[in-house]
Amino acid sequence: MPQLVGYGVYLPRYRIAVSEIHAAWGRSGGGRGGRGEKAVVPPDEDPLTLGVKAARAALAQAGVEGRHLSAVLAASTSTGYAEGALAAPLAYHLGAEGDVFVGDFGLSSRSVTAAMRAAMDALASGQGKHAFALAVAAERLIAEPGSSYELSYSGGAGALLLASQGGFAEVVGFASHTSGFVGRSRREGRSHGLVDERFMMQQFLAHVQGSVERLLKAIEIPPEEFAHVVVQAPEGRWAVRALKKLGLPAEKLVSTFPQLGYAGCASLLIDLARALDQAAPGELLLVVSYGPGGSDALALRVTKSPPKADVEAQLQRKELVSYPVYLRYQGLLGEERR
Amino acid sequence: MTTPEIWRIARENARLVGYRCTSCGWVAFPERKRVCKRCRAPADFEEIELKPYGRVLAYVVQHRLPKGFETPLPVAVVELADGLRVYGHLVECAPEDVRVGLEVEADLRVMYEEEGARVYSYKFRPREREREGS
Repeated sequence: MPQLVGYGVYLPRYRIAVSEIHAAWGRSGGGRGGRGEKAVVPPDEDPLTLGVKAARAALAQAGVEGRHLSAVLAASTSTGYAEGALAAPLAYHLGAEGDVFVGDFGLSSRSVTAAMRAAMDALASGQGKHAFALAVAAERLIAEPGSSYELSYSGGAGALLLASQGGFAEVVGFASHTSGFVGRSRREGRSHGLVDERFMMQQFLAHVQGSVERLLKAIEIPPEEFAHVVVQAPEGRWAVRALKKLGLPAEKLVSTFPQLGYAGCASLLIDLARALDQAAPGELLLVVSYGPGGSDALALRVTKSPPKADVEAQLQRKELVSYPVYLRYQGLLGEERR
Repeated sequence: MTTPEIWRIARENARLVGYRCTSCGWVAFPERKRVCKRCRAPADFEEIELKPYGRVLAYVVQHRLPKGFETPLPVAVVELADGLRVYGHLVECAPEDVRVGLEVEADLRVMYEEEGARVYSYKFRPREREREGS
């Protein structure tokens, strides 16, 4: 089974208080009750710059050089390109070129687990010259001002370094639940339409339950044996509901949603990093992705005390910005919008 | 799109690769030179991976710049740990916090957009211990 040998995150320094967004629109509180903050990506950062920094952190943690990567798989829904590449230039920045297998994943936040799966499969294929495969997820999500998405859409990056042996955790199982349900979607360069959020959440819960049940059946481990649970959810309360549905106490959920908001593909790897920071040998982790098309679930077993990424320190290193500065950083003010 | 002039120094730019004169130690970046600027003579150069940090040697705060730049923008001459001097933008740093001697680290950023593609390079930001000290 593939093993985890390193992980890293990169969180932008800037944050905005959700209450600041509500205040700008003359609202007293709203859905998130005016609590919490979300990360704000400055205009000169994008999935490549964010992803490179998370990947470098993962490589440094493991003491592995970029030129020893045999595969680099990248997931993002916000590169902004209809044609372009993320994984290849990302690999190049890390020092990996030539005989390196790369793949770009997008269109659904769920594709972060597709990138992870592709990294595992690349190792299992035995075709790479080197022993390591890297999965990276990076986002810079931009929400329509005044929309409900604006309260959560953020950015950041996470990276996971995998190898066939010598890690601190192993992948015990992987299961998918795929359907034709798309849920949140938007056209390129446009914002989301109005949707029935309650219906969206019900479908989210059904898909998450589908992948988790299939996983647990396959590996024959009951849900209560998992010490930490990561659920990729566009709304913080959706993840809490998912745990309830799975019959797990809410305390097992590891999430950065109250501090960072929702960073699409990247949220899963950032939350997983926070969970690994806390994990002890022998513990089991349940990691569930969700996005247009369905859900994937992974079970990880920690075999050795994991090295630390110190996500907590990066969460603390922050600078709050005002709503006008936030709009400027999102590229939503001025002539040169992007 | 990657243009010829960007691709020519892509490796040096992406991975901070410099070339050190084997006789006097002067570092060329990003172009590989044949003549050493300090020896003023043809020289041999060895490839080195630059340490991504240094100190501000001099700076100005730009207030009037063409479209595409946000002002006020602090720009600095930074002496990297390997001894070479480079010119770069300072980010995550208020203009009033810039000073000569400030310890900075290279940070990958989008520099500008050209023909539908983003061009990346390094800007500088205060090193974390500078923030802790202030």
